[in-house]
Amino acid sequence: MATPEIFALNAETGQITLKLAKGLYPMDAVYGAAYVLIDQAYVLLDKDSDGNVLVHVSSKEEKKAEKDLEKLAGTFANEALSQVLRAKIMKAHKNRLEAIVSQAVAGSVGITGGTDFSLDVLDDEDDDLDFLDDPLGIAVPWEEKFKGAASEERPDTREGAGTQKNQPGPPDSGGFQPVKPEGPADS
Amino acid sequence: MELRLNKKIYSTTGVKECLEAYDDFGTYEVTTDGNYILITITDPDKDFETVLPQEIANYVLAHEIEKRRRY
Repeated sequence: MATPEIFALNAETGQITLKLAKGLYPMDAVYGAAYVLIDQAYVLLDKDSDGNVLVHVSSKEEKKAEKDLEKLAGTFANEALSQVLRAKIMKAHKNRLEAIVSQAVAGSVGITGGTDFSLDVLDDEDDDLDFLDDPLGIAVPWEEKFKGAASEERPDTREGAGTQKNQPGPPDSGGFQPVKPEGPADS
Repeated sequence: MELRLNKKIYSTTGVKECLEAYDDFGTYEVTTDGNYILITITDPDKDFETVLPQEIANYVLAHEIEKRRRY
């Protein structure tokens, strides 16, 4: 027997029993598949005297067609297979997955490869600063910072400043400045 | 009304923990019968009488699976 066998089917009671041969599926896969099916059906696990796993699946609706019960059984079998494959992949790539996750976690706390990962680095930081402290001077108000500059006359309002033509203002810097041709063409 | 759970799959402590959640729906007695944990349900809530054993079975199974995943 290579697939789960339908051991019993009772459409009247809406119950189907699957028999999984001993050793065919690990118990973790059976549990995983049962867990997925729990919201759709009532699942009861049992073992016979030979060690085969019996899965009793009952529909949550009172009467269910045989086809629907078989579908439930199929869903269980598919899910069990999926769980087996997932466990196999996890086992095969365990080291790789652990390396990726540990690198991601280490990277998020600013530790580069090669150093031991520890959260102690967070405690080592000299963080005695109060929120009012401003060692970089970034909390100085603009008026205070440019106190002297604000009292000076603006260059564009100086006397004679209006006579200067084609002088690019601050917003023009870096922009396109066409050069007027010099000579007779100008007159 | 009885519910039989295989000892190789379900644990007695898990069953007892779960039955506390269903305290309002009936009276339960937990005994053992060979390889099985036997739950005898008396005085079940009339509204849930038909589904009570199956609901308990589902709950115990989910509890068992979650416990296994934790350890």
